[in-house]
Amino acid sequence: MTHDTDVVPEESARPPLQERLRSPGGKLAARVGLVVLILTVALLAFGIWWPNATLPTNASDTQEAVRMTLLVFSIAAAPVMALVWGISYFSLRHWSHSGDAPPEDGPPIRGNNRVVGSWLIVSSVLTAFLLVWGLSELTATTTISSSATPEIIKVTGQQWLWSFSYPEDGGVSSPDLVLPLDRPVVFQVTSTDVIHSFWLPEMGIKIDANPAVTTSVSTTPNLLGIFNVRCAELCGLNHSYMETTATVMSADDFKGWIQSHGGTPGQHVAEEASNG
Amino acid sequence: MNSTVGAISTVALGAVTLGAVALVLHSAPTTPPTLVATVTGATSTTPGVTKTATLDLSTYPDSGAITWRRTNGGVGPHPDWVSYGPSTVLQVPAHTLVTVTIKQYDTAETIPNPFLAAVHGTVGGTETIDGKVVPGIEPDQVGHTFTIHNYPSVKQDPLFVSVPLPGVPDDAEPADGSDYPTPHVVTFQFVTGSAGTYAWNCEFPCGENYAGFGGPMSSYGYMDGTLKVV
Repeated sequence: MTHDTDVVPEESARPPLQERLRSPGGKLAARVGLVVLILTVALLAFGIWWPNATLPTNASDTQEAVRMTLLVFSIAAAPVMALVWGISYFSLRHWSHSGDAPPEDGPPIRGNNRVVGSWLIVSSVLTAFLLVWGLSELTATTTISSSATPEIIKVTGQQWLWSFSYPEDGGVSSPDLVLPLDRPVVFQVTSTDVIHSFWLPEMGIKIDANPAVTTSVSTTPNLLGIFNVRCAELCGLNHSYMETTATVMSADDFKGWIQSHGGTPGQHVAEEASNG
Repeated sequence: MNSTVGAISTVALGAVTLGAVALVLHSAPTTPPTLVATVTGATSTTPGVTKTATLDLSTYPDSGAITWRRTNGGVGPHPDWVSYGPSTVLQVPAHTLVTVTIKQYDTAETIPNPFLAAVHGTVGGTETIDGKVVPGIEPDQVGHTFTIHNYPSVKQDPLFVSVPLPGVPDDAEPADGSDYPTPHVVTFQFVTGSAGTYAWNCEFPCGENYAGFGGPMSSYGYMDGTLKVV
């Protein structure tokens, strides 16, 4: 449908706000605004509740960062999603047509600088915020901020078993992952056969284990306990059994575990134990 | 009349066909029988352990020796696939000191992960090979492994056992009266906790195709199985 002239709203001729709200279009806009507001509140509540209800326990600084990012992104997305849903609902309800002949299209709206400017500015600010937040969190989770010497752990995936070795502690090896509390850990991950994925759900760590390649990822465990290690890449017959435990223990206990497995604690392990 | 006979014949033929398919499928064994450990006595020497039991297994370079696979006098599907026997579904009692004996008839290669050339999770951290107690073997001497997987997402007692099995020489001649050479006899012990179900398998990629993980390594009942603790 084409029109000879586009409608250009005349700013100077606009009636007062109260009068505009009393008009049929104003009442509709107010109802849309109310629905958008209610949806925003509901989505915000969901965005705050859902991560706490469904995500695993925070057991590392990485998982804390992941959870905070999810929360911030949910809050940022809530009003946008509410606006889209609200306008979609009113569009379907008030401008649907069930007759045989389609109605004549309305005039296009062009030249409303206020709408265009607002849309551009809000969109730009929002996307720039998400970009900056995402990049900064990515940097934070892939670099070690602590001054403590990291514990290097070699992680080997194979069909269908994880094994871990501690090269700086006398080469101790284990089918279970054991980690020191509050000390950065660098996982050097590889595979002997197919692609696996080294996944520590409670620590926010998931990285591919590729044959002939070593990938690295770091985190700092900050909660004592026993957590899950799983393979997150379908890798064959017994993929579902390719799991083990990650035990986070104090510096003293970690030193004792190294010794009980025939290893010699590295200098950093001994220092941490004496400090702890 | 002719159409009635035709319809009845068609239905009857379909029923016979379906019945034949069902009979073949039913008669072809696909699930290994359960191999139950033999309880040999009671003990109180180890805390938490009340019984002793034994379990006897073998690893063959081909599955023709596995009797439960044989149907109608044949040797079952894939007779050339390497296989554990006599079954891969194992059952052992809870809170028991289990002594496992494995006769290893197959040859060796180099295992990709040296971690699995060492013994893990057995009593004393050792295995006995032909009467000699060792904590492991050289990675290039491993024929297969017997590895019970811990399964922590299921609430059951932890149990991880991995034992390397040394291969017989590539040029070993069959022993008298046997299709296979004299095997290495590997013995080890582990302790079971409460009831649970665990997966076990060979961690040496001894199958076919890519990286040795096809064929018997990708099919239930050959180089993997279930360990039921009851």
